[in-house]
Amino acid sequence: MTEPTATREHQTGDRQAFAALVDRHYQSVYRLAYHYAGNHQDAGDICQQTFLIALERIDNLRDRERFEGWVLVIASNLLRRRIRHAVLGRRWLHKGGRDIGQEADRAGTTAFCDDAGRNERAQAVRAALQRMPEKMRLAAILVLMEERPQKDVARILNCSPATICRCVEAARDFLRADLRKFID
Amino acid sequence: MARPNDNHDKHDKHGDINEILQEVYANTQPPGSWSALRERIGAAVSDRGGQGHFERRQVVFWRRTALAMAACLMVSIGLLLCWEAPRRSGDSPDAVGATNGLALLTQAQTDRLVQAFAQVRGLFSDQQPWLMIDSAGASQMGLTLPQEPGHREEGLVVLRLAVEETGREDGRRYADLVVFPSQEVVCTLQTAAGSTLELRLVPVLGQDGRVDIDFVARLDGQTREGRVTQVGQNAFSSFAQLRLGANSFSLGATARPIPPSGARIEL
Repeated sequence: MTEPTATREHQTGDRQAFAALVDRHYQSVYRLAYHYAGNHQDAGDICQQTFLIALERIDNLRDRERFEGWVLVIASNLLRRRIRHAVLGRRWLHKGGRDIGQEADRAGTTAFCDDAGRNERAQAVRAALQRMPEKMRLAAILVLMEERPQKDVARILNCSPATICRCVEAARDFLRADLRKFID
Repeated sequence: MARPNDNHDKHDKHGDINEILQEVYANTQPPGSWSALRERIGAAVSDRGGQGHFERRQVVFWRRTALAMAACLMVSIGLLLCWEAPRRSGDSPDAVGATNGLALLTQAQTDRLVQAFAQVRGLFSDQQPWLMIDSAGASQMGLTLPQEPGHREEGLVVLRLAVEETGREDGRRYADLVVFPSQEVVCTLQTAAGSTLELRLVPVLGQDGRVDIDFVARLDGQTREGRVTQVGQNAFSSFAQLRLGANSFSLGATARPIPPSGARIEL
């Protein structure tokens, strides 16, 4: 079933069609959420919430070709909101310099990354992404990691392709400086 | 000056960066497994859409409609209460007797009093009767000589008196006093607190049909006296304030002249 067909069929009341859409996109939504939020717990929550919102609002989606971009817009909006809330909450709660969620997540990451070098690179990339400004981080994930066309990413992030191009270049320089030891 | 190999090197470095990022991206997976995450999402979606999200949206719509209607109803009731409360609390002199079921004079009784009072005055050699009925059901009657012998004024004046004790919800007492114009009346009125208020009243009928009242009010040794001009027919005109201990009493009155013909008037 193609994406526009699945979207149309769901809009006409076919519940299985939405399951097909979830099957097709939940991994990319999860990866985006994980690299943006920096932990698995938030990523899982955001992924679930994204599809719940998509289920509620799919009737408003007019361009069925753009389901994937639309879902990523939902996810990125949720992520921005969640991170802002988390930052505010952390400022209030967290004074010891150690984030319990991040610590637990590091343990989780180690569990499924069997290769030590790969695990180190993954942690370095995650740490570098977390230090980036929001828009640059999203652009880096969507363009550099997911290899989406900059034009599509500009539409998802609601900005011009030139802005995305600048963000991607800046992100690349940032990552190159941060991950120098792995490049060398 | 850029070296010829700069661009090539840059692409190589881009390639390295992209390679690392894509490798990290490809190896990203949830702590459990992809299928566990898929099941979690599926369970949440079927839970939300189990009843059918179309039906759910209708429920939400009707719930919001019901809430909006309930809010409108609350506002309407609030407005109605705000509008009704002053009327029921006796601020409107017309509503005092009828609405509150107080023992005040009715329209029909007042009409009959015009004839009766004229006959009494004839029977008692120009001595003029007066009658007072208070809201507690007590009544007082008396006869007085006219202030100017031989001078007779026709018609009657009905005074509705109000004594309000501040700070008490049940602090209002009312009394209807039926007198001839320019007749001096000395009567007493019980306040809600049980004190006795002594009143000396003379209603004076003006040329324009309006009524002025000369009054002396006594309460526990305090005296207030004066004249209140053009007493209202539809709203109480306040004419004296008295204090007894910590309590304060406010006196008000309406006055309605009744023509000699006994024609019906609004009371």
